[in-house]
Amino acid sequence: MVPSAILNEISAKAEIQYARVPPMRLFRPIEVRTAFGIALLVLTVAAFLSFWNLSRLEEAANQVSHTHQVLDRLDDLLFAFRDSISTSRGVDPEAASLHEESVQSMQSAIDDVARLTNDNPTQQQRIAPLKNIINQVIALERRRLAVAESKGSVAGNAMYAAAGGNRFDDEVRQAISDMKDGERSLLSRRTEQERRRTRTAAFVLGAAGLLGFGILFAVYFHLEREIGRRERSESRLSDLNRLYAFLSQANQTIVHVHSREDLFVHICRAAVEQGEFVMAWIGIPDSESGLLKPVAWWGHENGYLEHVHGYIARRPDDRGPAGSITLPQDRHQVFNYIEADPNIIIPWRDEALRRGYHSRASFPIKHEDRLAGFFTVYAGRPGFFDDETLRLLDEVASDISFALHTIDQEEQRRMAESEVRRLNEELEQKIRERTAQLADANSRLAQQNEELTRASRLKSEFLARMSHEFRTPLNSIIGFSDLLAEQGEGPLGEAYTGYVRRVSDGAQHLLALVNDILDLARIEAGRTDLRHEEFRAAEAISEVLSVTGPLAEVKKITVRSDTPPTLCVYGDRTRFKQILYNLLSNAVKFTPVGGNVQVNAEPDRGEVRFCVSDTGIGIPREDHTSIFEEFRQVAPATHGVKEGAGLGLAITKRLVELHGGRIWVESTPGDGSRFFFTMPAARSGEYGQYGLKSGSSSGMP
Amino acid sequence: MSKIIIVDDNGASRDLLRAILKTVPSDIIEAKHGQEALELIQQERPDLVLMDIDMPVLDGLSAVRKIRQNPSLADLPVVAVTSFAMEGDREKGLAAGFTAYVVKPLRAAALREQVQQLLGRALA
Repeated sequence: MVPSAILNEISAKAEIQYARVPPMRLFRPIEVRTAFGIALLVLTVAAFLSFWNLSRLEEAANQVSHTHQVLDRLDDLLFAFRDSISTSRGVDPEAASLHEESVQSMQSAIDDVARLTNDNPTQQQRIAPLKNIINQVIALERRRLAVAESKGSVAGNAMYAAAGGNRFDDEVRQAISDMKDGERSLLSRRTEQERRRTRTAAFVLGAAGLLGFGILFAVYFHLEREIGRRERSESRLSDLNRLYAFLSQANQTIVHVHSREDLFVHICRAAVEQGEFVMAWIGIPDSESGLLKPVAWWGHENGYLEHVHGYIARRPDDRGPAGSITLPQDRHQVFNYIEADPNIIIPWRDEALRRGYHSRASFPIKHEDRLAGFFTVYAGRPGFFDDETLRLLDEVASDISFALHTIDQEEQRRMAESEVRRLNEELEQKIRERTAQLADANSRLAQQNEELTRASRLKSEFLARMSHEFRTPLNSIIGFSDLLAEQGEGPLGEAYTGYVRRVSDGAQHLLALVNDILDLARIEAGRTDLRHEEFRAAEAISEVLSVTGPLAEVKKITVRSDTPPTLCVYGDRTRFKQILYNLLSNAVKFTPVGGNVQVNAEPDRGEVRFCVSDTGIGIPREDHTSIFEEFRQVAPATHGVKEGAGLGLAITKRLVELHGGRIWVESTPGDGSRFFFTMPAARSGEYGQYGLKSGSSSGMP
Repeated sequence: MSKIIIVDDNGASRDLLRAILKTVPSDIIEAKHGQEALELIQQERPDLVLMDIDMPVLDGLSAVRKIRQNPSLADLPVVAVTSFAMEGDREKGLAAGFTAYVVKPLRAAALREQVQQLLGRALA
């Protein structure tokens, strides 16, 4: 498992890289809006100009039509004038009414002309004289008619000619002709003016259209270029994002995988699934051939790796075997245009293109400063790899290197762990074996213990039985001896009295032996409970002396005690007396008649040390230990003493030891014996109290 | 005259007891085991019983328990006279109902004294 610190570092690195994506040349709407605004303004101006020109043209057309109207009415006027002249001759019977109609027409025509030309001062000036002439003519013709009616037409004609009527006729014609010429010249001027205006308008319109289209065209080109750039940026951004996703996935993979095989496969898979490469593979170099051996791949491989042989250059000029692609050891290798790259061998190129590989890059994977393999990816687009993508993929390769290092460490750690586990298992196995052996030994011990318990029970039963069986005959012997000694049935002779005493002594000895055996057995079985108490040593000693006194008296032995009266012992009083009795009775027993026996007691470092000394036969040094063993008696034959159970000292030793004390002897044959034993002194508080009560400090420690 | 029943399967033991108690004025009846003793006690109404423990037919412990089951015999002095001298034997005997526990071998004077004491108490 990769520590979380490394994981954090990896993700932090990815974050920084995301932030370092170069800023894209973004489309700026203000430029386009301005351009569109200008184009719109130009076209609007052009539209206004066109509208204005059109209205001017329409006005011009109206004026032409007006001029033609004026001309028509002038023609009407002229026609009516001629008609009035001809009717005024009075030939026709209805000449007068016809003449009036002509006059009406004339006046109507001249009024129309006056109205139509009221915006033209030149024509208005002409109208007034014309009207004047026409009115004179009309008056003259009316007179002609009147003459003709009364005097005949000839007289009319004559009067008309005399009045200069023919002259008026020419003047009218001339005036109307002048007006017509004036209108025509006006029309010609206006037409010329309109033609100029129309040309100007057409020119302005054309220029504005051109300008507008020019601007729109420029904007279009600008947009086209911007969109292209944007598409390229988006595509590049998408490429980079996919690569970052791949890098991120690769890093996650590195954190989670535990073997090289898994690592390689997962990296290739991430390259295809997150990085959207067509195919990705990892090869490791064969140390002999120098060729890359594919170990993991993902994507549209389809047998491709059988065709390609990557060779790792050992030197810069190392070309490798024929038909192989030579890879440099220490840097990535890129073929951005597989279709066109002259370095790519033909069959290999065809295989690549057939599978949709258009560009390819290989990245060396280092491990422990050596080349561990190559990571190769194929993109479905020519020219895919640029500095940025290569930098990212270089990082993937270096992350793989890092992962290999981590996996190695992990491997070593696992191996160490497994070694520890193995050792543990061995240890556990050994423990199990030992435990089994122990259990075996335990069961044997339990069995032995059971046997011992059984033996002990048998021993106890035997002792009980022995005790019982011995007591029954002893009962008769001792009981009847008592009766004999009482001499209740009549006096015995002196000799018999002696015999009876001997029988009784022997029986008592035997009884003592039986009791000793039972006592010893009880002590050995640990069934002896001591009743601890504090007591004055001197008092207990004097009680024992009163028991042994009669025996000592018989042998004329002096028994003395020199014990401080306040000296106190902590122990079982009865057992203490038993100990002292055993030692004193032995001392008396082995001391010749007239000897001395002495009992001393003194405090000694929390204990009380007792000494029973005698002036007896003594004990050889080699027996100083063995006399405390059961049924051991020091060479009785040599001392002439046959009595003694041989159990007394053994019991005594055990009783002393039960109290936590020691017993030993100092003796030289012929020079008496000194038996020492220790007992715990009374505990300080109570001891002290006791001592104070006694009112004496003698013998106090 | 006091009436004493001696119970023991061993003839020598019975003889010894009879001999020791010769100086005590009493009527002595012998039984060889517990069952016989129970019958004699019902029959003779003794003042004191001296009884061994290790006996055939009915042992002393069982016999004294049966005696104590009879309320009229609750105060009858029954003394164990036995060779069982191991630790706990005395306690076992007293728990079964014996008035006193005397371990063999007997000492004539001591036994005599104890018997007279018990008889004196019983007669008082």
